[in-house]
Amino acid sequence: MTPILEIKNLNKRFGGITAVKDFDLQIEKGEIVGLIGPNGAGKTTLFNLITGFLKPDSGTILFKGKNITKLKPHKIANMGLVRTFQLIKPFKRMLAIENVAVGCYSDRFKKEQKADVPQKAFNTLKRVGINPPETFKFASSLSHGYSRRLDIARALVLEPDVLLLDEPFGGLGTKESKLLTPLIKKLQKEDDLTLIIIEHKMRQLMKLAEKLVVMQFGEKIAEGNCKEIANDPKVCEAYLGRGGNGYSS
Amino acid sequence: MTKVNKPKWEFSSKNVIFLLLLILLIGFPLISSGYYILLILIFANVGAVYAASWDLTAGVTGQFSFGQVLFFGIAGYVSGYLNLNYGLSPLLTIPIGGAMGVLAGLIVGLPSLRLKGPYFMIVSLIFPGILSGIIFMYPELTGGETGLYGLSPISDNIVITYYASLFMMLISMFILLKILSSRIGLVFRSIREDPDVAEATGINTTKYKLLAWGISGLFAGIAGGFQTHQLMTINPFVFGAVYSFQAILYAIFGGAGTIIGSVAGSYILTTLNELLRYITDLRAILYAVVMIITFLFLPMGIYRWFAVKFNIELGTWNGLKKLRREPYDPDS
Repeated sequence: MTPILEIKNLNKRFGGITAVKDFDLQIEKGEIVGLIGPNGAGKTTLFNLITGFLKPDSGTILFKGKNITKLKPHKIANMGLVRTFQLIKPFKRMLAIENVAVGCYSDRFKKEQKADVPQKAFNTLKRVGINPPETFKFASSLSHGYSRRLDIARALVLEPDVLLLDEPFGGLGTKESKLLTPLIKKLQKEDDLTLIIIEHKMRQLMKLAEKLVVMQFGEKIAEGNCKEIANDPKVCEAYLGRGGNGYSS
Repeated sequence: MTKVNKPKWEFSSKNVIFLLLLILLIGFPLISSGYYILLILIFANVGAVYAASWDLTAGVTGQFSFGQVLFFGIAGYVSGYLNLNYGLSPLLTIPIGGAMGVLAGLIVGLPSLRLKGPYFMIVSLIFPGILSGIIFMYPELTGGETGLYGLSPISDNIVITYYASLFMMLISMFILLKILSSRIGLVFRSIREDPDVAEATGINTTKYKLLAWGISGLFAGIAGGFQTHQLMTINPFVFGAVYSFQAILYAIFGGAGTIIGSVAGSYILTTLNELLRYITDLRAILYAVVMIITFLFLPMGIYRWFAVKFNIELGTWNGLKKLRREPYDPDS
Protein backbone atom coordinates (compact mmCIF):
# COMPACT_ATOMS: atom_id res chain seq x y z
CA MET A 1 0.00 0.00 0.00
CA THR A 2 1.29 3.42 -0.88
CA PRO A 3 1.49 5.82 2.02
CA ILE A 4 -1.22 8.51 2.14
CA LEU A 5 1.36 11.20 2.81
CA GLU A 6 4.93 10.98 1.69
CA ILE A 7 7.57 13.62 2.29
CA LYS A 8 10.82 13.27 0.43
CA ASN A 9 14.01 15.16 1.10
CA LEU A 10 12.30 18.37 2.20
CA ASN A 11 14.41 21.47 2.78
CA LYS A 12 13.52 24.95 3.92
CA ARG A 13 15.84 27.77 4.87
CA PHE A 14 15.02 31.18 6.31
CA GLY A 15 18.10 33.25 5.56
CA GLY A 16 20.90 31.58 7.47
CA ILE A 17 18.67 29.30 9.49
CA THR A 18 17.81 25.86 8.22
CA ALA A 19 14.29 25.28 9.50
CA VAL A 20 13.73 21.90 7.87
CA LYS A 21 16.61 19.79 6.60
CA ASP A 22 16.51 16.66 4.42
CA PHE A 23 13.25 15.61 5.97
CA ASP A 24 11.71 12.28 5.00
CA LEU A 25 8.45 10.91 6.32
CA GLN A 26 5.93 8.31 5.28
CA ILE A 27 2.51 8.13 6.81
CA GLU A 28 0.05 5.30 6.23
CA LYS A 29 -3.68 5.73 6.17
CA GLY A 30 -5.30 5.65 9.59
CA GLU A 31 -2.12 6.26 11.53
CA ILE A 32 -1.87 8.67 14.44
CA VAL A 33 1.56 10.22 14.36
CA GLY A 34 2.92 12.46 17.07
CA LEU A 35 5.45 15.06 16.00
CA ILE A 36 7.61 16.24 18.86
CA GLY A 37 10.77 18.18 19.38
CA PRO A 38 12.16 21.11 21.34
CA ASN A 39 10.96 24.64 20.59
CA GLY A 40 12.24 25.86 17.25
CA ALA A 41 12.83 22.37 15.93
CA GLY A 42 10.81 23.14 12.78
CA LYS A 43 7.58 21.32 13.56
CA THR A 44 5.21 24.13 12.67
CA THR A 45 7.36 25.03 9.67
CA LEU A 46 6.92 21.46 8.50
CA PHE A 47 3.14 21.86 8.83
CA ASN A 48 3.28 25.11 6.90
CA LEU A 49 5.27 23.39 4.16
CA ILE A 50 2.88 20.45 3.95
CA THR A 51 -0.22 22.64 3.79
CA GLY A 52 1.21 25.04 1.22
CA PHE A 53 1.55 28.12 3.43
CA LEU A 54 5.29 28.01 2.78
CA LYS A 55 7.06 26.83 -0.35
CA PRO A 56 9.95 24.43 0.23
CA ASP A 57 13.37 25.17 -1.24
CA SER A 58 13.64 21.59 -2.44
CA GLY A 59 11.98 18.23 -1.95
CA THR A 60 8.56 16.83 -2.75
CA ILE A 61 5.38 16.17 -0.84
CA LEU A 62 3.06 13.49 -2.17
CA PHE A 63 -0.50 13.26 -0.92
CA LYS A 64 -2.54 10.28 -2.08
CA GLY A 65 0.17 9.77 -4.69
CA LYS A 66 -0.17 13.28 -6.10
CA ASN A 67 2.50 15.92 -5.92
CA ILE A 68 1.16 18.81 -3.84
CA THR A 69 4.45 20.62 -3.33
CA LYS A 70 3.56 23.72 -5.35
CA LEU A 71 -0.19 23.88 -4.75
CA LYS A 72 -1.95 26.74 -2.98
CA PRO A 73 -3.22 26.11 0.57
CA HIS A 74 -6.91 26.02 -0.40
CA LYS A 75 -6.24 23.47 -3.13
CA ILE A 76 -4.45 21.23 -0.64
CA ALA A 77 -7.25 21.64 1.91
CA ASN A 78 -9.79 20.75 -0.75
CA MET A 79 -7.90 17.55 -1.51
CA GLY A 80 -8.48 16.49 2.08
CA LEU A 81 -5.29 17.57 3.85
CA VAL A 82 -6.47 20.02 6.51
CA ARG A 83 -4.71 21.70 9.39
CA THR A 84 -5.48 23.56 12.60
CA PHE A 85 -3.40 26.42 13.96
CA GLN A 86 -1.09 26.62 16.93
CA LEU A 87 -2.40 30.04 17.90
CA ILE A 88 -6.10 29.47 17.43
CA LYS A 89 -7.53 32.00 15.05
CA PRO A 90 -11.29 31.60 14.92
CA PHE A 91 -13.30 34.02 12.78
CA LYS A 92 -13.98 36.16 15.83
CA ARG A 93 -16.82 38.36 14.69
CA MET A 94 -18.75 35.38 13.37
CA LEU A 95 -20.94 32.92 15.24
CA ALA A 96 -19.48 29.53 16.12
CA ILE A 97 -21.79 27.84 13.65
CA GLU A 98 -20.82 30.33 10.93
CA ASN A 99 -17.16 29.55 11.59
CA VAL A 100 -17.82 25.93 10.77
CA ALA A 101 -20.16 26.63 7.85
CA VAL A 102 -17.42 28.40 5.87
CA GLY A 103 -15.73 25.10 5.09
CA CYS A 104 -18.96 23.62 3.74
CA TYR A 105 -18.87 26.17 0.93
CA SER A 106 -15.35 25.30 -0.18
CA ASP A 107 -14.64 23.52 -3.44
CA ARG A 108 -14.17 20.27 -1.53
CA PHE A 109 -17.90 19.75 -1.90
CA LYS A 110 -19.93 19.61 -5.06
CA LYS A 111 -22.91 21.87 -5.50
CA GLU A 112 -25.51 19.30 -4.47
CA GLN A 113 -23.57 18.64 -1.26
CA LYS A 114 -23.90 22.28 -0.26
CA ALA A 115 -27.65 22.05 0.36
CA ASP A 116 -27.96 21.21 4.01
CA VAL A 117 -25.04 23.22 5.31
CA PRO A 118 -26.69 24.64 8.47
CA GLN A 119 -27.54 21.21 9.80
CA LYS A 120 -24.13 19.86 8.87
CA ALA A 121 -22.36 22.71 10.64
CA PHE A 122 -24.58 22.23 13.65
CA ASN A 123 -23.86 18.51 13.79
CA THR A 124 -20.12 19.00 13.37
CA LEU A 125 -20.08 21.38 16.32
CA LYS A 126 -22.04 18.84 18.29
CA ARG A 127 -19.47 16.17 17.47
CA VAL A 128 -16.69 18.21 19.05
CA GLY A 129 -18.88 18.93 22.06
CA ILE A 130 -20.12 22.42 21.26
CA ASN A 131 -23.86 22.56 21.82
CA PRO A 132 -26.37 25.40 22.06
CA PRO A 133 -26.19 28.04 23.40
CA GLU A 134 -22.46 28.09 22.47
CA THR A 135 -23.31 27.11 18.90
CA PHE A 136 -24.97 30.47 18.33
CA LYS A 137 -22.45 32.57 20.24
CA PHE A 138 -19.79 34.76 18.67
CA ALA A 139 -16.48 32.97 18.45
CA SER A 140 -14.82 35.83 20.33
CA SER A 141 -16.96 35.09 23.38
CA LEU A 142 -16.07 31.39 23.59
CA SER A 143 -13.65 30.12 26.20
CA HIS A 144 -10.20 28.94 25.17
CA GLY A 145 -11.20 25.30 25.46
CA TYR A 146 -14.20 25.82 23.22
CA SER A 147 -12.12 27.81 20.75
CA ARG A 148 -9.76 24.85 20.40
CA ARG A 149 -12.69 22.58 19.73
CA LEU A 150 -14.12 25.12 17.30
CA ASP A 151 -10.86 25.11 15.37
CA ILE A 152 -10.98 21.32 15.15
CA ALA A 153 -14.62 21.50 14.01
CA ARG A 154 -13.70 24.06 11.37
CA ALA A 155 -11.18 21.61 9.95
CA LEU A 156 -13.32 18.54 10.51
CA VAL A 157 -16.24 19.87 8.48
CA LEU A 158 -14.07 19.55 5.36
CA GLU A 159 -14.19 15.77 5.88
CA PRO A 160 -10.40 15.50 5.76
CA ASP A 161 -8.40 12.38 5.05
CA VAL A 162 -5.40 13.71 6.89
CA LEU A 163 -5.77 16.16 9.74
CA LEU A 164 -2.78 18.07 11.04
CA LEU A 165 -3.29 19.25 14.61
CA ASP A 166 -0.85 21.92 15.75
CA GLU A 167 -0.71 21.73 19.54
CA PRO A 168 -4.36 20.84 20.14
CA PHE A 169 -3.71 20.80 23.88
CA GLY A 170 -1.89 24.12 23.94
CA GLY A 171 -3.18 26.36 26.69
CA LEU A 172 -5.63 23.80 28.01
CA GLY A 173 -5.86 22.81 31.63
CA THR A 174 -5.43 19.25 32.85
CA LYS A 175 -9.15 18.70 33.03
CA GLU A 176 -9.84 20.04 29.55
CA SER A 177 -6.94 18.05 28.13
CA LYS A 178 -8.27 14.86 29.67
CA LEU A 179 -11.59 15.47 27.93
CA LEU A 180 -10.02 16.31 24.57
CA THR A 181 -7.92 13.17 24.29
CA PRO A 182 -10.84 10.71 24.05
CA LEU A 183 -12.64 13.14 21.76
CA ILE A 184 -9.78 13.20 19.26
CA LYS A 185 -9.55 9.42 19.44
CA LYS A 186 -13.28 9.09 18.84
CA LEU A 187 -13.27 11.46 15.88
CA GLN A 188 -10.30 9.62 14.41
CA LYS A 189 -12.10 6.29 14.63
CA GLU A 190 -15.44 7.57 13.30
CA ASP A 191 -13.99 9.37 10.30
CA ASP A 192 -11.09 7.00 9.69
CA LEU A 193 -8.75 9.98 9.96
CA THR A 194 -5.03 10.02 9.61
CA LEU A 195 -3.68 12.34 12.28
CA ILE A 196 -0.41 14.15 12.67
CA ILE A 197 -0.23 15.89 16.02
CA ILE A 198 2.35 18.38 17.18
CA GLU A 199 2.27 18.42 20.94
CA HIS A 200 4.39 19.17 23.95
CA LYS A 201 2.08 17.54 26.48
CA MET A 202 3.61 14.10 26.32
CA ARG A 203 1.17 12.48 28.71
CA GLN A 204 -1.76 13.26 26.38
CA LEU A 205 0.16 12.62 23.18
CA MET A 206 1.33 9.18 24.30
CA LYS A 207 -2.28 8.18 24.89
CA LEU A 208 -3.09 9.08 21.29
CA ALA A 209 -0.10 8.49 19.08
CA GLU A 210 0.96 5.07 17.82
CA LYS A 211 4.08 6.45 16.25
CA LEU A 212 6.30 9.34 17.26
CA VAL A 213 8.59 11.38 15.09
CA VAL A 214 11.19 13.50 16.84
CA MET A 215 12.66 16.62 15.27
CA GLN A 216 15.62 18.67 16.31
CA PHE A 217 17.18 21.57 14.40
CA GLY A 218 14.98 20.75 11.42
CA GLU A 219 16.09 17.16 11.18
CA LYS A 220 14.36 13.94 12.04
CA ILE A 221 16.41 12.36 14.81
CA ALA A 222 14.17 9.42 15.69
CA GLU A 223 11.04 7.60 14.63
CA GLY A 224 9.22 4.74 16.31
CA ASN A 225 6.60 3.75 18.82
CA CYS A 226 6.28 5.50 22.15
CA LYS A 227 8.40 3.03 24.07
CA GLU A 228 11.23 3.09 21.56
CA ILE A 229 11.25 6.86 21.52
CA ALA A 230 11.14 7.18 25.27
CA ASN A 231 14.14 4.90 25.56
CA ASP A 232 16.07 6.38 22.67
CA PRO A 233 19.19 7.95 24.17
CA LYS A 234 19.37 10.59 21.43
CA VAL A 235 15.82 11.72 22.15
CA CYS A 236 16.30 11.67 25.89
CA GLU A 237 19.25 13.89 25.46
CA ALA A 238 17.54 16.29 23.04
CA TYR A 239 14.12 16.52 24.45
CA LEU A 240 12.81 14.39 27.25
CA GLY A 241 15.75 14.58 29.56
CA ARG A 242 16.53 11.85 32.06
CA GLY A 243 13.03 11.64 33.49
CA GLY A 244 11.66 10.76 30.07
CA ASN A 245 11.63 7.02 30.77
CA GLY A 246 8.80 7.42 33.16
CA TYR A 247 6.36 8.62 30.52
CA SER A 248 6.30 5.40 28.55
CA SER A 249 4.39 3.44 31.15
CA MET B 1 -40.14 17.36 16.53
CA THR B 2 -42.97 19.43 15.13
CA LYS B 3 -42.18 22.07 12.60
CA VAL B 4 -42.84 25.61 13.64
CA ASN B 5 -44.16 27.52 10.69
CA LYS B 6 -43.41 31.14 11.25
CA PRO B 7 -45.28 33.68 9.16
CA LYS B 8 -42.99 35.26 6.58
CA TRP B 9 -43.66 38.79 7.78
CA GLU B 10 -43.94 39.56 11.45
CA PHE B 11 -45.71 42.50 13.01
CA SER B 12 -42.73 43.59 15.05
CA SER B 13 -41.45 47.03 15.90
CA LYS B 14 -38.46 46.75 13.57
CA ASN B 15 -40.54 45.69 10.60
CA VAL B 16 -43.01 48.48 11.26
CA ILE B 17 -40.19 51.01 11.38
CA PHE B 18 -38.68 49.75 8.14
CA LEU B 19 -42.06 49.81 6.45
CA LEU B 20 -42.83 53.32 7.68
CA LEU B 21 -39.46 54.57 6.43
CA LEU B 22 -40.07 52.97 3.06
CA ILE B 23 -43.53 54.53 2.78
CA LEU B 24 -42.08 57.88 3.79
CA LEU B 25 -39.42 57.67 1.08
CA ILE B 26 -41.90 56.60 -1.59
CA GLY B 27 -44.51 59.15 -0.58
CA PHE B 28 -42.09 61.99 0.04
CA PRO B 29 -42.78 63.93 -3.20
CA LEU B 30 -46.42 64.16 -2.07
CA ILE B 31 -45.38 65.95 1.11
CA SER B 32 -42.91 68.22 -0.55
CA SER B 33 -41.87 68.33 -4.17
CA GLY B 34 -39.51 71.21 -3.65
CA TYR B 35 -36.56 71.02 -6.03
CA TYR B 36 -33.96 71.64 -3.35
CA ILE B 37 -35.22 69.06 -0.86
CA LEU B 38 -35.60 66.36 -3.49
CA LEU B 39 -32.12 67.14 -4.78
CA ILE B 40 -30.69 66.50 -1.33
CA LEU B 41 -32.50 63.18 -1.15
CA ILE B 42 -31.21 62.23 -4.60
CA PHE B 43 -27.68 62.90 -3.39
CA ALA B 44 -28.42 60.81 -0.30
CA ASN B 45 -29.61 57.90 -2.44
CA VAL B 46 -26.58 58.02 -4.69
CA GLY B 47 -24.31 58.39 -1.66
CA ALA B 48 -25.92 55.36 -0.02
CA VAL B 49 -25.16 53.10 -2.99
CA TYR B 50 -21.66 54.50 -3.25
CA ALA B 51 -20.96 54.04 0.48
CA ALA B 52 -22.47 50.54 0.47
CA SER B 53 -20.15 49.58 -2.39
CA TRP B 54 -17.18 50.61 -0.24
CA ASP B 55 -18.66 48.75 2.71
CA LEU B 56 -18.78 45.51 0.77
CA THR B 57 -15.01 45.44 0.24
CA ALA B 58 -13.90 47.17 3.43
CA GLY B 59 -16.54 46.47 6.06
CA VAL B 60 -17.52 42.99 4.92
CA THR B 61 -14.45 41.57 3.16
CA GLY B 62 -11.81 43.53 5.07
CA GLN B 63 -10.05 45.07 2.05
CA PHE B 64 -9.82 48.64 3.31
CA SER B 65 -9.42 50.97 0.34
CA PHE B 66 -8.99 54.73 0.17
CA GLY B 67 -9.65 54.89 -3.54
CA GLN B 68 -13.29 54.02 -3.94
CA VAL B 69 -13.86 57.17 -6.00
CA LEU B 70 -11.91 55.52 -8.82
CA PHE B 71 -14.89 53.32 -9.72
CA PHE B 72 -17.32 56.17 -9.20
CA GLY B 73 -15.33 58.53 -11.42
CA ILE B 74 -14.36 56.07 -14.13
CA ALA B 75 -17.99 55.06 -14.57
CA GLY B 76 -19.04 58.69 -14.59
CA TYR B 77 -16.56 59.51 -17.32
CA VAL B 78 -17.42 56.47 -19.44
CA SER B 79 -21.15 57.06 -19.25
CA GLY B 80 -20.67 60.78 -19.85
CA TYR B 81 -18.42 60.16 -22.85
CA LEU B 82 -20.79 57.67 -24.44
CA ASN B 83 -23.72 60.00 -23.90
CA LEU B 84 -21.94 63.02 -25.29
CA ASN B 85 -20.33 61.40 -28.31
CA TYR B 86 -22.74 58.63 -29.25
CA GLY B 87 -25.95 60.03 -27.83
CA LEU B 88 -26.71 56.92 -25.81
CA SER B 89 -29.44 57.37 -23.23
CA PRO B 90 -28.58 57.32 -19.52
CA LEU B 91 -30.53 54.07 -19.27
CA LEU B 92 -27.75 52.48 -21.33
CA THR B 93 -24.74 54.47 -20.27
CA ILE B 94 -25.20 53.94 -16.53
CA PRO B 95 -25.05 50.12 -16.79
CA ILE B 96 -22.07 50.40 -19.16
CA GLY B 97 -20.43 52.66 -16.59
CA GLY B 98 -21.18 49.99 -13.99
CA ALA B 99 -19.44 47.42 -16.17
CA MET B 100 -16.41 49.70 -16.38
CA GLY B 101 -16.57 49.89 -12.60
CA VAL B 102 -16.33 46.08 -12.46
CA LEU B 103 -13.26 46.17 -14.67
CA ALA B 104 -11.65 48.88 -12.56
CA GLY B 105 -12.57 46.91 -9.45
CA LEU B 106 -10.77 43.83 -10.71
CA ILE B 107 -7.68 45.90 -11.55
CA VAL B 108 -7.60 47.50 -8.08
CA GLY B 109 -8.29 44.10 -6.58
CA LEU B 110 -5.07 42.64 -7.99
CA PRO B 111 -2.66 44.42 -5.62
CA SER B 112 -4.99 43.64 -2.72
CA LEU B 113 -4.10 39.98 -3.22
CA ARG B 114 -0.50 40.66 -2.33
CA LEU B 115 -0.53 43.78 -0.19
CA LYS B 116 -2.06 43.81 3.25
CA GLY B 117 -3.39 46.46 5.60
CA PRO B 118 -1.76 49.89 5.41
CA TYR B 119 0.34 48.99 2.35
CA PHE B 120 -2.74 48.34 0.31
CA MET B 121 -4.41 51.50 1.64
CA ILE B 122 -1.54 53.60 0.31
CA VAL B 123 -1.64 51.91 -3.08
CA SER B 124 -5.42 52.32 -3.29
CA LEU B 125 -5.00 56.02 -2.57
CA ILE B 126 -2.76 56.36 -5.61
CA PHE B 127 -5.09 54.83 -8.22
CA PRO B 128 -7.53 57.76 -8.52
CA GLY B 129 -4.54 60.10 -8.84
CA ILE B 130 -3.21 58.07 -11.76
CA LEU B 131 -6.57 58.24 -13.48
CA SER B 132 -6.93 61.98 -13.08
CA GLY B 133 -3.42 62.27 -14.54
CA ILE B 134 -4.52 60.26 -17.57
CA ILE B 135 -7.55 62.50 -17.96
CA PHE B 136 -5.37 65.60 -18.07
CA MET B 137 -3.17 63.89 -20.64
CA TYR B 138 -5.94 63.47 -23.22
CA PRO B 139 -8.01 66.68 -23.09
CA GLU B 140 -9.51 66.14 -26.56
CA LEU B 141 -11.15 62.94 -25.29
CA THR B 142 -11.93 63.83 -21.72
CA GLY B 143 -12.37 67.57 -21.84
CA GLY B 144 -9.29 68.07 -19.67
CA GLU B 145 -9.76 70.40 -16.77
CA THR B 146 -13.31 71.44 -17.60
CA GLY B 147 -14.37 67.83 -17.99
CA LEU B 148 -17.48 66.73 -19.82
CA TYR B 149 -20.57 68.89 -19.70
CA GLY B 150 -23.93 69.23 -21.37
CA LEU B 151 -24.88 65.61 -20.71
CA SER B 152 -28.44 64.32 -20.84
CA PRO B 153 -30.10 64.53 -17.44
CA ILE B 154 -31.80 61.48 -15.92
CA SER B 155 -35.05 63.34 -16.38
CA ASP B 156 -36.13 66.96 -16.67
CA ASN B 157 -38.61 66.32 -13.90
CA ILE B 158 -37.02 66.30 -10.45
CA VAL B 159 -39.72 64.00 -9.03
CA ILE B 160 -38.98 61.37 -11.68
CA THR B 161 -35.26 61.72 -11.04
CA TYR B 162 -35.96 61.26 -7.34
CA TYR B 163 -37.91 58.06 -7.98
CA ALA B 164 -35.19 56.81 -10.31
CA SER B 165 -32.57 57.35 -7.59
CA LEU B 166 -34.78 55.74 -4.97
CA PHE B 167 -35.36 52.76 -7.23
CA MET B 168 -31.63 52.43 -7.86
CA MET B 169 -30.90 52.65 -4.14
CA LEU B 170 -33.52 50.10 -3.10
CA ILE B 171 -32.55 47.58 -5.79
CA SER B 172 -28.84 47.96 -4.97
CA MET B 173 -29.49 47.52 -1.26
CA PHE B 174 -31.67 44.50 -1.88
CA ILE B 175 -28.95 42.83 -3.97
CA LEU B 176 -26.12 43.77 -1.60
CA LEU B 177 -28.02 42.59 1.48
CA LYS B 178 -28.85 39.33 -0.28
CA ILE B 179 -25.15 38.88 -0.99
CA LEU B 180 -24.27 39.70 2.63
CA SER B 181 -26.58 37.05 4.03
CA SER B 182 -25.74 34.43 1.40
CA ARG B 183 -22.90 31.92 1.43
CA ILE B 184 -20.81 34.47 -0.48
CA GLY B 185 -21.29 36.98 2.35
CA LEU B 186 -20.29 34.31 4.85
CA VAL B 187 -17.08 33.61 2.96
CA PHE B 188 -16.40 37.37 2.57
CA ARG B 189 -16.65 37.80 6.32
CA SER B 190 -14.35 34.86 6.95
CA ILE B 191 -11.75 36.53 4.71
CA ARG B 192 -12.14 39.74 6.70
CA GLU B 193 -11.56 37.88 9.95
CA ASP B 194 -8.52 35.92 8.80
CA PRO B 195 -7.56 35.28 5.17
CA ASP B 196 -5.04 32.58 6.13
CA VAL B 197 -7.53 30.54 8.11
CA ALA B 198 -10.09 30.97 5.33
CA GLU B 199 -7.50 29.65 2.90
CA ALA B 200 -6.79 26.70 5.23
CA THR B 201 -10.53 26.01 5.26
CA GLY B 202 -10.43 25.42 1.52
CA ILE B 203 -11.62 28.86 0.44
CA ASN B 204 -10.09 30.27 -2.71
CA THR B 205 -9.49 33.70 -1.21
CA THR B 206 -8.13 35.08 -4.50
CA LYS B 207 -11.38 34.32 -6.27
CA TYR B 208 -13.58 35.71 -3.53
CA LYS B 209 -11.53 38.87 -3.05
CA LEU B 210 -11.77 39.63 -6.76
CA LEU B 211 -15.48 38.88 -6.65
CA ALA B 212 -15.89 41.41 -3.86
CA TRP B 213 -13.95 44.00 -5.85
CA GLY B 214 -16.03 43.34 -8.94
CA ILE B 215 -19.33 43.76 -7.09
CA SER B 216 -18.02 46.84 -5.32
CA GLY B 217 -16.92 48.37 -8.61
CA LEU B 218 -20.30 47.63 -10.16
CA PHE B 219 -22.32 49.48 -7.55
CA ALA B 220 -19.88 52.36 -7.19
CA GLY B 221 -19.97 52.63 -10.98
CA ILE B 222 -23.74 52.72 -11.12
CA ALA B 223 -23.78 55.44 -8.48
CA GLY B 224 -21.11 57.36 -10.41
CA GLY B 225 -22.98 57.11 -13.70
CA PHE B 226 -26.20 58.23 -12.06
CA GLN B 227 -24.60 61.21 -10.36
CA THR B 228 -22.86 62.30 -13.57
CA HIS B 229 -26.10 62.32 -15.53
CA GLN B 230 -27.98 63.93 -12.71
CA LEU B 231 -25.45 66.78 -12.49
CA MET B 232 -25.07 66.72 -16.30
CA THR B 233 -21.34 67.20 -15.91
CA ILE B 234 -18.19 65.57 -14.58
CA ASN B 235 -14.71 66.94 -14.14
CA PRO B 236 -11.40 65.44 -13.02
CA PHE B 237 -11.67 66.97 -9.56
CA VAL B 238 -14.08 64.19 -8.70
CA PHE B 239 -10.98 62.01 -8.21
CA GLY B 240 -9.93 63.99 -5.17
CA ALA B 241 -9.43 62.09 -1.94
CA VAL B 242 -12.42 63.91 -0.42
CA TYR B 243 -14.82 61.83 -2.47
CA SER B 244 -13.21 58.59 -1.38
CA PHE B 245 -13.47 59.67 2.23
CA GLN B 246 -17.11 60.52 1.68
CA ALA B 247 -17.89 56.84 1.08
CA ILE B 248 -15.83 55.83 4.10
CA LEU B 249 -17.50 58.40 6.37
CA TYR B 250 -21.02 57.47 5.31
CA ALA B 251 -20.37 53.75 5.71
CA ILE B 252 -18.60 53.95 9.06
CA PHE B 253 -21.04 56.53 10.43
CA GLY B 254 -23.89 54.18 9.53
CA GLY B 255 -22.09 51.05 10.69
CA ALA B 256 -19.34 49.39 8.65
CA GLY B 257 -20.03 45.82 7.66
CA THR B 258 -23.80 46.14 7.80
CA ILE B 259 -24.35 47.47 4.22
CA ILE B 260 -27.69 48.97 5.21
CA GLY B 261 -25.89 51.29 7.61
CA SER B 262 -24.63 53.13 4.54
CA VAL B 263 -28.18 54.30 3.83
CA ALA B 264 -28.54 55.66 7.34
CA GLY B 265 -25.12 57.28 7.17
CA SER B 266 -25.72 58.79 3.78
CA TYR B 267 -29.14 60.21 4.64
CA ILE B 268 -28.09 61.64 7.99
CA LEU B 269 -24.81 63.13 6.83
CA THR B 270 -26.11 64.53 3.54
CA THR B 271 -29.00 66.21 5.34
CA LEU B 272 -26.72 67.46 8.09
CA ASN B 273 -24.32 68.89 5.57
CA GLU B 274 -27.14 70.82 3.91
CA LEU B 275 -28.63 72.01 7.19
CA LEU B 276 -25.27 73.37 8.22
CA ARG B 277 -25.07 75.34 4.99
CA TYR B 278 -26.99 78.10 6.77
CA ILE B 279 -24.15 78.49 9.25
CA THR B 280 -21.39 78.95 6.72
CA ASP B 281 -18.62 79.91 9.11
CA LEU B 282 -18.93 77.03 11.52
CA ARG B 283 -20.11 74.42 9.03
CA ALA B 284 -17.00 72.31 8.84
CA ILE B 285 -16.43 72.52 12.57
CA LEU B 286 -19.97 71.51 13.47
CA TYR B 287 -19.87 68.67 10.95
CA ALA B 288 -16.69 67.42 12.58
CA VAL B 289 -18.15 67.78 16.07
CA VAL B 290 -21.15 65.67 15.14
CA MET B 291 -18.80 63.05 13.71
CA ILE B 292 -16.61 62.98 16.78
CA ILE B 293 -19.55 62.72 19.17
CA THR B 294 -21.10 59.92 17.14
CA PHE B 295 -17.90 57.93 16.91
CA LEU B 296 -17.29 58.49 20.61
CA PHE B 297 -20.65 57.21 21.75
CA LEU B 298 -21.62 54.91 18.90
CA PRO B 299 -18.30 53.64 17.59
CA MET B 300 -19.99 50.76 15.80
CA GLY B 301 -22.25 53.11 13.86
CA ILE B 302 -25.80 54.34 13.91
CA TYR B 303 -27.33 51.21 12.44
CA ARG B 304 -25.76 48.85 14.96
CA TRP B 305 -27.12 50.99 17.78
CA PHE B 306 -30.53 50.88 16.15
CA ALA B 307 -30.24 47.13 15.63
CA VAL B 308 -29.44 46.51 19.27
CA LYS B 309 -32.41 48.67 20.34
CA PHE B 310 -34.84 46.81 18.13
CA ASN B 311 -33.27 43.39 18.39
CA ILE B 312 -32.35 43.01 14.74
CA GLU B 313 -29.74 40.46 13.84
CA LEU B 314 -26.86 41.97 11.93
CA GLY B 315 -25.58 40.52 8.68
CA THR B 316 -26.71 37.12 9.72
CA TRP B 317 -26.07 34.23 7.46
CA ASN B 318 -29.37 33.05 6.00
CA GLY B 319 -28.53 29.45 6.90
CA LEU B 320 -29.30 30.27 10.52
CA LYS B 321 -32.89 31.08 9.66
CA LYS B 322 -33.29 27.66 8.09
CA LEU B 323 -31.97 26.07 11.24
CA ARG B 324 -34.27 28.07 13.46
CA ARG B 325 -37.34 27.57 11.34
CA GLU B 326 -36.82 23.84 11.63
CA PRO B 327 -35.55 23.60 15.18
CA TYR B 328 -32.66 21.27 15.77
CA ASP B 329 -33.56 18.01 17.36
CA PRO B 330 -31.74 17.79 20.69
CA ASP B 331 -31.99 14.00 20.72
CA SER B 332 -30.64 13.25 17.27
